[in-house]
Amino acid sequence: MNAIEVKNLVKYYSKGTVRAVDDISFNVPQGSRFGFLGPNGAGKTTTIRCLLGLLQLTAGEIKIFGESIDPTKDVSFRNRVGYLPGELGIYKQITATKLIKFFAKLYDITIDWDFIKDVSERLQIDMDRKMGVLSKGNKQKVGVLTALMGKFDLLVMDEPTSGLDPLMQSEFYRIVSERQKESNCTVFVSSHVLPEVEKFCDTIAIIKKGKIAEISDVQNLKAKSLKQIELDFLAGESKQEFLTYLSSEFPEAIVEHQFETQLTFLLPPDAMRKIMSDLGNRVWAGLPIKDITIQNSSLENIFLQYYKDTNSILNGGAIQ
Amino acid sequence: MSIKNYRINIINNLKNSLNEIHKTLKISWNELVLGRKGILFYTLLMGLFSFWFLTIFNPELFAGMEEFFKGYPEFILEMVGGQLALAEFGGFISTYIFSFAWMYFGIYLILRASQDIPKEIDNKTIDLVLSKPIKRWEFVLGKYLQHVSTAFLITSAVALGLFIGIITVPNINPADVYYNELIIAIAWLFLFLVALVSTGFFFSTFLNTRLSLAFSFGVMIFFYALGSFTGLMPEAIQGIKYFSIFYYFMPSNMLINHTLDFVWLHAFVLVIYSIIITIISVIIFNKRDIPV
Repeated sequence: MNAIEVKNLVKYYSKGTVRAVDDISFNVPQGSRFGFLGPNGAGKTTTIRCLLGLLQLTAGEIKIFGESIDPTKDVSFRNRVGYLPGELGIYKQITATKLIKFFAKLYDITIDWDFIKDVSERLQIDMDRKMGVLSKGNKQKVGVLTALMGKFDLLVMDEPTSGLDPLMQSEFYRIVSERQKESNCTVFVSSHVLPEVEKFCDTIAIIKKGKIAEISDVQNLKAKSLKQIELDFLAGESKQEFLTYLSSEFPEAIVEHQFETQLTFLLPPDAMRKIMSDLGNRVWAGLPIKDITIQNSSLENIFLQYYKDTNSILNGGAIQ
Repeated sequence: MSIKNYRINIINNLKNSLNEIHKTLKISWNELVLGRKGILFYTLLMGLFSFWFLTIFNPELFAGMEEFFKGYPEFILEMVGGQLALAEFGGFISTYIFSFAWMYFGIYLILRASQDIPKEIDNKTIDLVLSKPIKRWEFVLGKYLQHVSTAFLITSAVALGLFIGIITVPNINPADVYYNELIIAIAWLFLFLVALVSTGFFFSTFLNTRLSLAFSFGVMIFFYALGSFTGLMPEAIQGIKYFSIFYYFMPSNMLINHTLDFVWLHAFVLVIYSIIITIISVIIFNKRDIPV
């Protein structure tokens, strides 16, 4: 069963002039770790807010745990959902304990206070300090706690580690992983921190200008995506000659980085055979290549692949 | 459907309704707790203010003032209910407390109500609350109830201040006070304040912070002018005064002439106005997007 099914979701703003989400469909299987990627304004947060009923749908259908719902009207499904918004706002005048108690009264479920105590200790949250005096990171920890306060079947988290230090980031993912192992809950994460998503998620969707650009298993995506090739030349002239060759033979190549005799670029998998043959058989300005390293693209490169204008990259040299 | 199932359905519906009311009250209580310092301070201040006003009551002095005010143009008198009896307790509180109640108590309430939901949106706290299993109407009514409760607290403090004044101020003879009328006037004041709160809250359900404030105050001033100065307008258009909630809160006739003419009708209009505008607020909020 799918925890989330989104079918032809459309959300327009300003009487249709702004198409924030434009006919997207995707499924999030129960028990999966689903990463939702996209740059600012791509439609990630709008999609999440539609799921949670904070925005009215322009069109489309949403199913949560197999049931077709209108998220703004049917609210009982939220008893099974923990949500952490991307821009967290918390009541400054009260303590984290009081906030949790207040939210607990809004749920129709039993709250696991032992778990809350455990998480608050692990995230080092001062539960008795007023939230107005907490730092951004500590407020975020309280937000994380509110999303994990029940034994939810679905966790929807928009930029969950924003403001957390690296230690707390790993602790956060550890807690969520443990929670998932224990309850087989589904985790839906929207994030800009791609290495994190790469490490944590098993499936990702990339959203671009309100449309889904790709949905795939992370490993499959990496396998079928661009390969990263690092070359070290014996001389700068060799590198220049190679760049001329690259732009004429592989216009789709993306130069990531170049410095003196070093060059890093991305190529689609189907171009690998030809370039490997040329690299092995040819010399560049009379010299062979000193060193070659090939690796699968990181999620970051894959992400860039969907967002960069590949035609302009070779002309401009290294990409941003 | 068998009788047993029918009963179970009724019990479940009852349980759901109780749960919804419980959540609405929780939201309301939470809001009151969050704003308790300001509310208590203002309530206390208004109680003291009402008491203090009674301490300046002096029948001889105010009889002279009444003569002085009678020379004023009619529209000035319209501002204080169109009648003067400053040397009497009823006339005095009608002119100095109830006629300006919108200013003393209403502005604070309308300011809070008009800022409520926009502030929650600006502070992003609304996302966390509305992502919980609560219906939009529970949220809106919970918010609204806290303002009604604040209006009740302020009215109670005013009542307390007045009653303490009646007992303790030497210039007031408790035997001269028409208690029934005073209690009705205080209850009427509460209904009027609720109507003001409803107006401010209505704008807060769909406008941003600045616009909500501007519209709430704009409408309040407009209503005030309609309700108080229509006597100056051409007779043909004087009927527009009926569109102002201020027209429906003029206890001067009751407190000065000791008559209950139109009191219940006007109080009823205020109640109906508050109910209708609150229903519209809920409908609007149900349909709106919660912006990021």
